[in-house]
Amino acid sequence: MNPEWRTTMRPIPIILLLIASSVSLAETPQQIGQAYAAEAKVQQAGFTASALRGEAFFRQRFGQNDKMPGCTSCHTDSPLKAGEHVVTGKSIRPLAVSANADRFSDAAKVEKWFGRNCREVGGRACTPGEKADFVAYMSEVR
Amino acid sequence: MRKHPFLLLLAVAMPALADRMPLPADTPASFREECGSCHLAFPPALLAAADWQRTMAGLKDHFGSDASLSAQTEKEIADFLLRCAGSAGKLGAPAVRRGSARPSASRASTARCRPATGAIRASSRRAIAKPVIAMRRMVASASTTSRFPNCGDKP
Repeated sequence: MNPEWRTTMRPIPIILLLIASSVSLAETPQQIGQAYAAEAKVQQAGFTASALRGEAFFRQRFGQNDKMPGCTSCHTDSPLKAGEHVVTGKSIRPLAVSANADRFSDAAKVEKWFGRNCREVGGRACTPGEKADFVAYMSEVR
Repeated sequence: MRKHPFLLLLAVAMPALADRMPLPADTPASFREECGSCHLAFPPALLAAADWQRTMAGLKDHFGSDASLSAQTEKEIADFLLRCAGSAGKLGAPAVRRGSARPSASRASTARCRPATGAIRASSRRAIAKPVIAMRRMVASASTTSRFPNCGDKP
């Protein structure tokens, strides 16, 4: 079998799993994090999610958006605290699972917000590895 | 709120109408969730189909905020908005002509929209005319500038 074919086809079962998981009623942050980590492993053998990298990402200044240089612009310096959207003024419940049990319990919702925020704040889509790290940090932080 | 005179205007103008102009009976849950979490979920009849199409085409920069949706949700909401959109002729009039406020249920654009229980009174229609015209102007200008001209950049 052509090895190139195998590498290009492998993500598809994972994407299918992600789509299938979004249909189920509730997921855990672990399941959502693992799905991203599995996706990251396809691109980078031996990938393991890191809460430390996730925190660094959370605090990074991307400098792509004057109003929202980084995650903390709206989510505050602490994932345990409620935030406020700098454009819409909408209040945002804490990102940390320990402070908000609803976080990372709906894969479709997680994908929606990564999609919006990565593009708007980071200027590009986040990689599966970045998402896995981010979920790991938000699952662990207390 | 403080940075968006647009939202302030709507926050002041719209809730008063919301109870008099309820959402259609077949409003999908995704519309209430996605279009009602930052601002009031505006009744589709407040804008014409072309206005909604323009709005839905620009969700990546929705008045300064990324409001993009999954393809499935976007289609569900767009279908609903177009099905239940208001009549362009009536909404676009610079002033409401007296005696023209009668709802026309036979109109093609509303034929497949299940109206909310309780008809909209003519007095309510007159009351919403100004906010509707203001809203249409803003949506129209937002299509060219991608942001409202009066939206300040300062935090």
